[in-house]
Amino acid sequence: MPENSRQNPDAPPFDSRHDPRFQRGYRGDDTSVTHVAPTGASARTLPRVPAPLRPEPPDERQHPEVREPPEERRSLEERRQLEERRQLEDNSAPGGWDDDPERVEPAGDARLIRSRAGGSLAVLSGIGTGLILLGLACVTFTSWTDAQLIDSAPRDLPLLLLTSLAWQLSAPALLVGFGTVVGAVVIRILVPRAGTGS
Amino acid sequence: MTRPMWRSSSVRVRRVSVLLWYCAAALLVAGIAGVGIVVGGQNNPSVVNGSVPIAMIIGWAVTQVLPVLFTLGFACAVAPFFLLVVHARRSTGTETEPDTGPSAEP
Repeated sequence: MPENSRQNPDAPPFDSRHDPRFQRGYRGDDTSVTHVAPTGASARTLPRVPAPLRPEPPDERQHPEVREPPEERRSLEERRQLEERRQLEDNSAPGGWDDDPERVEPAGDARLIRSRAGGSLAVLSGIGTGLILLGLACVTFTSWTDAQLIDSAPRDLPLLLLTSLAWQLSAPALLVGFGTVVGAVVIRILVPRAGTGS
Repeated sequence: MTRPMWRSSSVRVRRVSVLLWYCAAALLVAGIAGVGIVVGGQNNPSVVNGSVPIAMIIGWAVTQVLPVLFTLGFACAVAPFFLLVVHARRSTGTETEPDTGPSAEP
């Protein structure tokens, strides 16, 4: 039963056409939207639209720079020290590592250069040993397949190709392999290391 | 305000190394292709029973050219490692220096 007819029996009968709550597009106290059917008989309420998420405050444990005061609040001395530190971190800046001609690289840089270049005598000796083993394998393969090629009446072309390739590879591989190992020994003996004087 | 020698020379060494590796790849591929051509020619009756100069060229390739190609290819493949080792020793001087642990770090 409508509200006004329950409180006042003499009031005119309820007419939903004059009640703004039953008009199309009526918005109440909240953000819910009330849609009224054209007849005004029934209404349905759409679910409330959730409020936009508020951005979370930054976690200072993960971002320690957040704790640092902004640039405007720094004192002059702090700003100068910060600028010096940035210049030192920049190797190409004056006073940086690249600017020092007498600089001897720390062990970290040496490891970095070696890891980038692969430049160590162990690598060189390993390559030489690998080439020697390749040459020996080629010689062994050639001598093994020669007997099979003699027995095979129609010549097996892939086997013949492999045999010929192994025969051609064996001598250069042995030559360069021995040369590499000898060269590694010569470098170890003759090439001095920087800063050691030896 | 000159840049240190080791920084520019390392770039040069790296470029030369890449160039040598390209040369090595080309030489080795040429050698393998040469082996294929020689073996194919030796097994081709028209070549075997053909003119004498072709057989001479094949023999010359087998005995003279292909070993040189493979030798130069292997040498060009290994030479950059020599360059890098020598450069690393001359620029850093820590070839056999052991890792001194966290105390060496700043």
